[in-house]
Amino acid sequence: MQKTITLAHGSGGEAYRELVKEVFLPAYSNDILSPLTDSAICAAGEKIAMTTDSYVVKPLFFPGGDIGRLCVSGTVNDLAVSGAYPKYLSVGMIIEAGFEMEKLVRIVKSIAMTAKEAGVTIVTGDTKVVEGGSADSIFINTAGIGVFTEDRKPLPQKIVPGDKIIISGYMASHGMAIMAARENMGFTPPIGSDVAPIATLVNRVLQNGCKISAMRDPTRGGVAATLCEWVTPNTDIAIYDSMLPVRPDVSAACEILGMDPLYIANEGIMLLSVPAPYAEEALVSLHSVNLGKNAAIIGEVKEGDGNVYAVTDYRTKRKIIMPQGEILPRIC
Amino acid sequence: MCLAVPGRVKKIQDGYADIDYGGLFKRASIRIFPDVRVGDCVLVHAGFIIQVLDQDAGEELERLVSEIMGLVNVNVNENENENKYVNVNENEDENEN
Amino acid sequence: MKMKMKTKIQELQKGIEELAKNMGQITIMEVCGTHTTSIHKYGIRELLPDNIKLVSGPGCPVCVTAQEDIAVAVSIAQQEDVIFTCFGDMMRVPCGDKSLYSLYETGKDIRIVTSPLDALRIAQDNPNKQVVYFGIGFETTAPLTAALIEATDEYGVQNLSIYSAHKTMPQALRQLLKNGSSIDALICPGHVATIIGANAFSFVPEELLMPATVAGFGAYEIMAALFSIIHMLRKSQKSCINMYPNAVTEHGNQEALSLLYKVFEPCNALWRGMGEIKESGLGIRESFGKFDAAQRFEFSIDEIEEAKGCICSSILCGKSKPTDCANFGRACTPSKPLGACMVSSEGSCAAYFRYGRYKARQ
Repeated sequence: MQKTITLAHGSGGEAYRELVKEVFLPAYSNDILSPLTDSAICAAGEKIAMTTDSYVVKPLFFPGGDIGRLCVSGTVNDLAVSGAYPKYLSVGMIIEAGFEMEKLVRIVKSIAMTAKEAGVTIVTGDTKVVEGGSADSIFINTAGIGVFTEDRKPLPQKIVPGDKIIISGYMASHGMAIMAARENMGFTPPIGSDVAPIATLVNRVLQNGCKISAMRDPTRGGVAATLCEWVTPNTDIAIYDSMLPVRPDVSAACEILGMDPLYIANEGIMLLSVPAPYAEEALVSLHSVNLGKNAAIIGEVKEGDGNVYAVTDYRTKRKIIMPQGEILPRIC
Repeated sequence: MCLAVPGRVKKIQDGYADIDYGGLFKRASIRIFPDVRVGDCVLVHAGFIIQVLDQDAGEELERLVSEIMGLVNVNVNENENENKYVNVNENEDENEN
Repeated sequence: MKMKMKTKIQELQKGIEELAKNMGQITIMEVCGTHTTSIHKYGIRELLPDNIKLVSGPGCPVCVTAQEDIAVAVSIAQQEDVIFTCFGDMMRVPCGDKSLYSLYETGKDIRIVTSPLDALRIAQDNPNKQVVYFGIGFETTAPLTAALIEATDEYGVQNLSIYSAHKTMPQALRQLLKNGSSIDALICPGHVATIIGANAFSFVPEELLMPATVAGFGAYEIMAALFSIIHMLRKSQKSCINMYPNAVTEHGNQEALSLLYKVFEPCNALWRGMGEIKESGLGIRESFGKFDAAQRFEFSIDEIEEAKGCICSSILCGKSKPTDCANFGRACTPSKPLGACMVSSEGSCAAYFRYGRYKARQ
């Protein structure tokens, strides 16, 4: 096999077929994909969930994960929080000519491993190659299908006054990990991303018929963005500074860079809005899974006017707003 | 007007100190505070140590506050729980700044 | 028995209320962007009685950097084979319809650094490029730029230069707070004081005839500083009290100061919203002139016009509130800032927008 990706790999001919046979098929290995038909034929129920996302992250490999793990987790998590069982994924790649084959193999193996962890099957894909700029780029799109069943229906996705807001783990790890790696910030030990598929967490929470008002994975824009998306004109959301779980190294990094963990991206946690009588049960379910061991109740939904605010340690209030644009570190 | 963060000096080498921010380490230049020593608690701004923190002086601030309090006649009962004032929850941990 | 932090804050809250009774309107200015942020972060205003007003002065380097300086930065950053480095704070400051961020989006090599020494590393890693470092900030940050210039000289690095828009506080405070200002007292910037020393602010009670405290940045430190100020106001005492003793000494960091003035000298400077203030800037001395980007590069900048309806100048001086501005929250938001008060998350307008006081339902 060649050492780098060339334009020939993307033009559908012999080189492309070799790439599929040598790299993609062995990694994704399943009966739906193997026939290599133009479309994958899959079984799904009456109602499906479908989502798509594109991944352009730099650096490609970072502490805690890589673009491969990210492109599976991100799409799986969007399906999972809708209440569906994530089942099938497509993987479309656009690669710069000159890209090292060894890196591609690493990424594909990571995709396969994460897909297995999440219980999803890679059923179809596509690869295109473009003329190189710096030959270090790969852009990946994944589309995912999830299925609903008798015991798993779509969630209402509407918060209700009285709900408790629960977070399934530490905040801000992914965004800080990426920034620290990309900007060579020299933190030791390196800050690790939380990137992970959370389908098992969702399964555990929902398995005993626990009622959930809304679930979302707070990616770009962090917890703040999700809470601002959830709030309605006749509700308020209050969260408590003292209850927000942040890993100590992430907290220190945020302090040093003048950034607020509430606004930083996550890729391995979810937020839940749970009617109060079910909150304890949801928390116990989350704690029973390793990924959810740091889950905590962080606030509540009240009747209100569409405000999202944090209650400080001194019982004063601080408004939380929808983040505007990329969050940048500050010094002054 | 600038963000500066406290940390502890763990090692000094070649003009840089390894600073411990509670388990997370990062280098800072000692160029503008060359007299720093291992074990010092320091203030770091934009990758430079700008000052050594005087731990005893933390009590100095409390002393200054008490001095004024003594002149003002303010009584605080630790168990007080008026709505108008900050609520005090006795079970919460001390927050040492 | 050591009091818990919340009890200490409660005690200060009561103490301030007691002292401020029947004193009429009291207006206190802070001149430090990080104080602005901390005050909003902890909701300090909610802990104060209604007759105490806190205003944000020109202590945010991003807010007070003149548009002309941004225009020069943009002009240099656009040139061939230039790597332009600056703090994240400066990226979104607008100059007309351009900003360093908008240039970055079009593919220009503009890099955020978190320390001036990062610029030196970038210069060493890219010997075929000209690397420029945008020096902004007050007396806390300027010595760091001086250290960068000294290190660049020591290592014989030829492809790095610095554009200085550094400023110093005292002259600006004198201009702002002389006769007729509505400010009753000053909270002095704690980290500037770490460098220049608490004594450097003695001119505030002596010349400006108002009490001042040097304050730290936690909720307790800020409340303690306010408590001390209200006490001084009640007694008509005009002093400057150091309420950040574990980081601030009388004379500051002499090493930093001597390095600062080895490399820089005072010069006149343009402050956004305040015009030119004499001796309030820091220019690179002739002996280090070869590192001055203003000498190394050719650039031309157009005439600068303030955005229509922008009252940043008045907000910086504590004369107006963000909500007095017709553009606030409408034409001017953190994602499309018109004036610099909205750009920096520490600027009065952005801080107010982000952390605006929550009003409880009755």
